[in-house]
Amino acid sequence: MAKNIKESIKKIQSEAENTIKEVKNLDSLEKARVRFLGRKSELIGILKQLKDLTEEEKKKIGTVANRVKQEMFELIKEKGAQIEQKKNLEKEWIDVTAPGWKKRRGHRHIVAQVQKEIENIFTSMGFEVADGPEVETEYYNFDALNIPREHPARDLWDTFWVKEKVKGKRKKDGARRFAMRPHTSPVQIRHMENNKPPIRIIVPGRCYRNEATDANHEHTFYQFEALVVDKNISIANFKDIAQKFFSQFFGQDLKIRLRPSYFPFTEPSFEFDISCTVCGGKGCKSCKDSGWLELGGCGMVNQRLFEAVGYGRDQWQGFAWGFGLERLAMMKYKIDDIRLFMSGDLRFIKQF
Amino acid sequence: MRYSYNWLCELGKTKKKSDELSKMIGLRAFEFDGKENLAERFDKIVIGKILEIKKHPNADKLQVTKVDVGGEKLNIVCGAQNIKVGDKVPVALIGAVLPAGNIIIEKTKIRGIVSSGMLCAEDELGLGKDHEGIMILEQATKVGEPLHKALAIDDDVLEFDVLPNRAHDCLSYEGMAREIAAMEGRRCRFTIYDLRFKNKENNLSIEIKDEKLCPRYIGAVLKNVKIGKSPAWMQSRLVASGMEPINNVVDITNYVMLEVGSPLHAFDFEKIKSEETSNPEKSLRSYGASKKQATPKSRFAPMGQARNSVNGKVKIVIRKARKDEKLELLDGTSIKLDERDLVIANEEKVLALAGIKGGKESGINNQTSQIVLEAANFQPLNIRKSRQRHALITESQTRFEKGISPELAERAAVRAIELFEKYTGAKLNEVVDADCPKLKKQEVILGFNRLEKLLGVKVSLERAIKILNDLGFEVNEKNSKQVKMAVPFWRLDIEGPEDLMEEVGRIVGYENIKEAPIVMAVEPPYKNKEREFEEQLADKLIGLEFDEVRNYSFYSAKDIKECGIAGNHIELQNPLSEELTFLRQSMLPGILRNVALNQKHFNGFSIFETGRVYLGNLNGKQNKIGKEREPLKLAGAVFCGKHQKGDAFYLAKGKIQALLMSYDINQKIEFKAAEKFSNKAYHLTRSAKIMIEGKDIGEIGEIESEVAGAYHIKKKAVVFEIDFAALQELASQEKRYEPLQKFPTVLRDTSMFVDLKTETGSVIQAIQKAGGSKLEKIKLFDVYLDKKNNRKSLAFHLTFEKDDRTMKSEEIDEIISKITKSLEKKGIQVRKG
Repeated sequence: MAKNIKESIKKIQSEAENTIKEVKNLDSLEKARVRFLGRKSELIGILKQLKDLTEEEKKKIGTVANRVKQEMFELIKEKGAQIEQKKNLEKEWIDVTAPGWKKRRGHRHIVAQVQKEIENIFTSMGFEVADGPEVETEYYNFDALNIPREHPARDLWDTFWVKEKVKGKRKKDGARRFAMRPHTSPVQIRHMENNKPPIRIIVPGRCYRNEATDANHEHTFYQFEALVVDKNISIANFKDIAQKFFSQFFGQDLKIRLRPSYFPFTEPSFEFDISCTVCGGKGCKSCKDSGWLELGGCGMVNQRLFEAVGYGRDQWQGFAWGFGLERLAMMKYKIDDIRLFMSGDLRFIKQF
Repeated sequence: MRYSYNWLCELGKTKKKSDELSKMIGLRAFEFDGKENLAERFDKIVIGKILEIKKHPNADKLQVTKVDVGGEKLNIVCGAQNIKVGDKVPVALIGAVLPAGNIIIEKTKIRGIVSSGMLCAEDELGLGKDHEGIMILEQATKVGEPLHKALAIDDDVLEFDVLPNRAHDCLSYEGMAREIAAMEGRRCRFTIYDLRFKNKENNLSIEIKDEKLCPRYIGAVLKNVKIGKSPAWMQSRLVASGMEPINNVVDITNYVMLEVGSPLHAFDFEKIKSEETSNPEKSLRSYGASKKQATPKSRFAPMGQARNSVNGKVKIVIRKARKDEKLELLDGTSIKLDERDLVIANEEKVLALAGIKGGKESGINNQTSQIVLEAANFQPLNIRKSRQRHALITESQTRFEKGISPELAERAAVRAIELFEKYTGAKLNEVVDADCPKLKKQEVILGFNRLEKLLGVKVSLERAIKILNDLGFEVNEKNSKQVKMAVPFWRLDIEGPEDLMEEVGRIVGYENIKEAPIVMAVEPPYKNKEREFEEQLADKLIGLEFDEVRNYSFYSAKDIKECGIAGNHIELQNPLSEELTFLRQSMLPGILRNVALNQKHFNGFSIFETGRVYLGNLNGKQNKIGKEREPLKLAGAVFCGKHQKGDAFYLAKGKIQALLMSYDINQKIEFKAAEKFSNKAYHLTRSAKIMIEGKDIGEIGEIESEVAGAYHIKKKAVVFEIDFAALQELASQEKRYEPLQKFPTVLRDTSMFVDLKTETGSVIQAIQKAGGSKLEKIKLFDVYLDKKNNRKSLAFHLTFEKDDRTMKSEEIDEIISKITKSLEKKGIQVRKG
């Protein structure tokens, strides 16, 4: 008999648990409470049967029954709280998929971003960021860089000349014209005139070439010059710095390659290639199957420049390069028209 | 230059395949620009035999031929009249692309008759200039055989960008062959050609008037010349090198120029000989006038004895042209010369523009039987200037302009004479060499220590010397530390030890130099404060929703006028266009263009640019080129589209205020109305000057409507321009911590009526002044325009605080009443209650 009662209680409990679990609102929860804990509930009915049992059995089953009663009570209470909370949350519902209120930041020009990145890498290697004028004298643009007037090498730079001429006798060369600097190299001379080695500078800045524009040519563009001068700076050092910089800039391990070239201000001079950033050197469309991307000119500083700035010959060695900043950006972001940079078109600017 | 692979192999003795060879040259000397297979150029062009020729039924000048092209017989309509049955001719089959002009051959109907191909003339094949008729081939050629095989044109053309400093020697096959050999660790030795000819005919005399401009002039008289075609192999090499075969004489001069690198020219003796028998005394006198005057050289050994004298005498004078002298060139065009041009003349007239182009009158034609060969040397700069003036680019000029050793002229002369004798039947009659004193042999010292220091890799002494020897340098003196090398005459580019190091470096191969880190003191780099500030400023603006633009430094006279930009502008001498003529002194024209462009795509936007403006008068007081003359500016625009509320001005001002406040801790910024602005772009009653402590640092305002119209700006936009240096100075103020407020602040409101046009700024100033230091904050929270009564109501929140205790109500009342009184004194009606 006692055993039967015990089982009945267990049955009631599991029935109650199942029922309460399914309850969705306060009304049905109240119904469940009446059903399982009300005066006419089964459990109460069972408790009423206890009188037929022995004291010992009474005590035993009574404990069980009270515990079950308590548990069911807690369960209902908890469920009630749950339902209440859910109701409140429903009331506070918002549509989180609706668009956020429009707040935006502007966009930095991609050239500025690339310039900053370059400056960061170089300053981390101990380089200074130097600067110089854009309307520059013939002397700094050419003569001091070992490109005397009438030298055919001047043809390499299509230069914008300024109408106003330099008045008075200037420097030893007699260079008398102003021009928009066609490269950042005059800053090499200006910096060396005012500083003694060791020198580690980069010069990012605007340059000008008098040439018709197309997808690959722009009359106004940015270059960044690098110049390192010390007692023992070698081609091996140059390759090292270049390799480190470009690997860092493109975020992958790159190889560099030097080929012979000619520039009046460097001797020896090189053409500078990096292994293709797309295929890694295997050959693809971007590198025209060569595995290499051409970046520009560079070389070991011509001793004549050191003479021009008063360092004297054969005392110092150094390397220099001047690469196009847009070209780097174009390679990195696969931009196919250089004219976009100066277009002022926000559809372009907002992409970066 | 375009090089024939076969020719390079013959002279350079390399066994490398053309791809390997170009790769090697690309890494060791000159950039490789591409390869063309010549046989492919003549694809689908075969030998055909003419079987019959009929008149075209519908055209008088055309003929219809039947041609056997090997297995197939084609009907081809042809216009030329020089063909006969049995001739063998080049036939371009359907689908062939003619080398000259890229014409694709298609099956067509010509006046009703189907034509399945084309019989080709020389010029159509790029094999010559002849367009007189169809090219008739030798009978020995096989019908159906591809043309390139029949003509032995089976070659790769390799194109290299010879560096300007190596044009002296490498714009030639011998020069390039020498390079190839050195790269492969060999030394090329070419046949030595020396002028050896003993003859005192005295039919040719040469007078150099300006030996600086013409350091050497060798003239050779050749007779019995038979003009004809040059041998097929020579033609094929010329074609590979990008030159058209013309006749044996011209071809030989071109061939030798390509091989040796020194240009040649041939005159027709008959056409340039003196009209009268020249006076031997006069000639002698002129010889005596200068020791550079040439007499036939005694060291000439007989190369061939001239039995018959040449009929007539030639005197060649190398002189400056006279003003307005004219010369008809080989191509028929005529040029007007002046005193700056160096010319080759006889006693009567100009024969050629020295080193650039020959005259038509004195040129070779099919009747020529005696020639004067010119092998000379000219000063590069003068050649350069002449060709610039006359806009003439020729193979000869290209070489002389870069500079060539005078010694090469001799080599070229002898080589050409040899070929003339062999291929034109010519006999050498006389050689005259007007030669300047020999240039001193140049020596350069190469220190091994520095070699290693510069390259950053160890190269043994023997290796370095071997490389230089292979390139033609000779050891003059040597010890363990250095070597003194004699520079070969053809290397005009060698100036110092670095040049030798470059030679060693590139032949060793730059890829064999391993990267090595720089060893330098670890030091923080000097900070570029201006750049840092620019970066910081840009970041702030981006936070305020500005996008950054970049504009050209140039603008037009129209921009200056439309915007009324005052000041002396720097003007370009050679601008690309009118739009890009003046250096900007204001950033606004660029910004206005940006607004005009972007209004099409965006409803609202804010843009800014930081950049330089360029102050005029370069020779003025601030003669020093530098920052003062190219000050940085910040400029920008705020554009309000239709969906944005509020006045563009206040939106822009709010942003600029936020920017300035981020720097200014002491609130010294003011926006002041003004009667005049730096340019016309600012709307006079909707613009303000931006001041810091009374100093003008910039302007902000709505675009004046006429200016907006000129730039096609359709909606309200506000522009601003701020002096960068002043901002930087403002930003340089040090910020200092102020203790946090410990006691509660007290808030009071005040409101008033003022005239509609009273400046709110002045009201705020008055309140601040009267309120004193305990008035912490003034905030305008309501404006109501009562236009009917020509007044407006302003309402402010006033925040009071004291740093040692909470302020009492009476204290605040006192201040408020002080403020009220002060406002009322100004005639402002403060609302009570």
